[in-house]
Amino acid sequence: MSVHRSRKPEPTGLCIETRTEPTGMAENTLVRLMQWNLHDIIRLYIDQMEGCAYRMKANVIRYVITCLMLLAMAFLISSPALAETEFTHSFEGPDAAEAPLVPLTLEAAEVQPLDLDHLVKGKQLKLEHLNADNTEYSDSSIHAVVTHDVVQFKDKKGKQKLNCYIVRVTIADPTQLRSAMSYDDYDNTKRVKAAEMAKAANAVAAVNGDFFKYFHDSGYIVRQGTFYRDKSNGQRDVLLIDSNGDFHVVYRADSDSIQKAVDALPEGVTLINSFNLGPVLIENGEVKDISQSAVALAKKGGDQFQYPYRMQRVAIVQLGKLQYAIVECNGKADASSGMSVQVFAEYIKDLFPDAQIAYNLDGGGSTNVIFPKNAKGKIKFERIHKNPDSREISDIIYFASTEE
Amino acid sequence: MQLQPYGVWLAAASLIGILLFAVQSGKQGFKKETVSWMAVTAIPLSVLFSRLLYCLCRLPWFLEQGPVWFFHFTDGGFMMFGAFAGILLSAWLTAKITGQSFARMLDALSVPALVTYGVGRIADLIAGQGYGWPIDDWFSVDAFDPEEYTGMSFFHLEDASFFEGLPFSVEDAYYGNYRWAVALFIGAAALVFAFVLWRMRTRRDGSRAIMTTAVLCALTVLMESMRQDDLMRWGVVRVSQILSAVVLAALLVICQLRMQRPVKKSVIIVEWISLLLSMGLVMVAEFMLEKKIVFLDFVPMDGCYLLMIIACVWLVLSVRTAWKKQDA
Repeated sequence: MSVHRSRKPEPTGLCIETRTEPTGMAENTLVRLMQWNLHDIIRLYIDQMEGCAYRMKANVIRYVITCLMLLAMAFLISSPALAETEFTHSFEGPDAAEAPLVPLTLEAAEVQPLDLDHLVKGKQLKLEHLNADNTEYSDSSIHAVVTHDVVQFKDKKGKQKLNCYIVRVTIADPTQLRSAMSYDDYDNTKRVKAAEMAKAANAVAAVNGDFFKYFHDSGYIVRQGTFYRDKSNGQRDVLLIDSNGDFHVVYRADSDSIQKAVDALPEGVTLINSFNLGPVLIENGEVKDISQSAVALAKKGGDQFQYPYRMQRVAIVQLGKLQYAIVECNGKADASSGMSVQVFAEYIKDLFPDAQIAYNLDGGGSTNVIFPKNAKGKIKFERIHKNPDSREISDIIYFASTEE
Repeated sequence: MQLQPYGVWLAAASLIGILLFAVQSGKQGFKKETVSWMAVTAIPLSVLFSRLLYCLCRLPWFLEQGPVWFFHFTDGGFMMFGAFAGILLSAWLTAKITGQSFARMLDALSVPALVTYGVGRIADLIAGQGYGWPIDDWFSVDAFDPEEYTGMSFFHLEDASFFEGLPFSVEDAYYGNYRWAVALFIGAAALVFAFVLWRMRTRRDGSRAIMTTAVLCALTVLMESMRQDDLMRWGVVRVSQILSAVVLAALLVICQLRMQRPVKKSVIIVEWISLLLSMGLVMVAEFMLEKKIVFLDFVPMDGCYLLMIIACVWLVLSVRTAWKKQDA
């Protein structure tokens, strides 16, 4: 005779075990029940307890798994928009393979320093020092390389693919890092194409400065060792470049903090150039939180430089002793493409993890990076990337050659 | 590895849903192990299915990235309808394992699922998503001033600052303006409907779940059209709206199949025509919003949304007619 077993739960959650048999066997069942001894009853009790314990244990296990999964959700499901920005590079250039890019080297050579006077320019460039692709200029005093990077990344607005240009420069003497202003005149407010200024200065590489002539009522201006004005208002980070070619930054600079920074320069070292835009993007390899920077805390409008927008951006970076980089990212004036200042800072960090100082310059339509080009046997100065909405500007930072 | 605010929010929303289901399950006399089975299956299935649907909707991109991208949860996103499919499967599995009614289980799940959705949707704001038009587009343009009129709004407010903050709007950091907090509206609407549903008298098994899904679909159609963030589109059409239409059509079929009394063919045809017309009206409203219908360009945004609301109510009513009959 076969006996079918089944378990049925009680409303309380405890279980009882019953034995059922095919219809018509009731009599036999009664006989069998009567034959049960104490052993059978104990066995039934143990079975019940085991079943309940098993069920309770299984329930607990499932709840534990649920909790673990919820915990995993909290760690693993990050919002795509909040995901850390990852850059995928596609480099083109003489020695570019992959990020991080390495600073250029220059064979040690005795060079004749250039005079500080802003009317003194770099030495005439020579075609033989320019490579066939117009991406590298190298002589005994300067080594400059242009790298094109098609970078893919994701920011808060989604994925982007942008053209970026990186100019790495190594110079032999700090006097080769210079600035120039339109018409070489502080008081002349006329603006000039950056390429014109670069041509006049014989620049191996040039980048727009801080557009200090746009407003005459702000900023701490020193150019080529000459002090012009101190109207700093604590709303911008200031970049100071000393006579060793080293960068120093003053956050939310006012007159006192700048003076302190100047006073803190090593003995015999003087201030050569200062720039008033910013913010500081990187200091000693650490990316700055732009949401807490001078631009973010400034009054909405002019001094914010549209820092959260996607825009063209440009920065100057000190990589090491007399080693620098200019980094430019493409973009559109309508903010539909480009980088926010924060993303730009992260991009530079990705390119140069050990950057000492990276300082944001005037982006948007002011973005100009100039590199010489061989145009039918003549040196021509052109913007590396031709932003369609580029404007004329008032000053450049440039690197000059000292080789006669 | 660090805690992700988005993930924490979603986990919290899921936990609330599980607790609510435990309460519902107790009230409706489900077996004790029901809650644990439901929880342990619903979480992975809803995550995986929502990701799967997202990958399917972006199939070319998915194929380009390779299958491993499926598990890159930080890249791309998830689709709500996939999560609902996961929960549906989980409910079916739980019903089978515990030997209980699938339809009853879906009914018990309705309120918890809506609450989870309502709370979870707000996480979009953490992600910088789920926002709509700038509030200026609605209030600071005078529709009756011919010089200012841009066909955007009937309303004009000199000062819209009252609306510049939660719960009405969120600040768009990119442009410094204020945009409607649509994710919050969706969440609030889902919670309100969850409350209504909770108070609704019990009907035939499965009815509550059908009505929940219908309202949710109509809500999605309306609210998705308000969103202006990085939501998934096929051309100009929002994917969620298409999925909503498909689900609504499926609901109508289910309702018609569940009818206990024979119904005339003409009635069935009328129900389908009604559903299709309401969907058509949604499309018209959507194209009007996108300014794709040139001769209707003059209709302000408010007018387009009014039309959209009418169309969405009609969508629900189309299903509701059949829904009521299957209950009779």
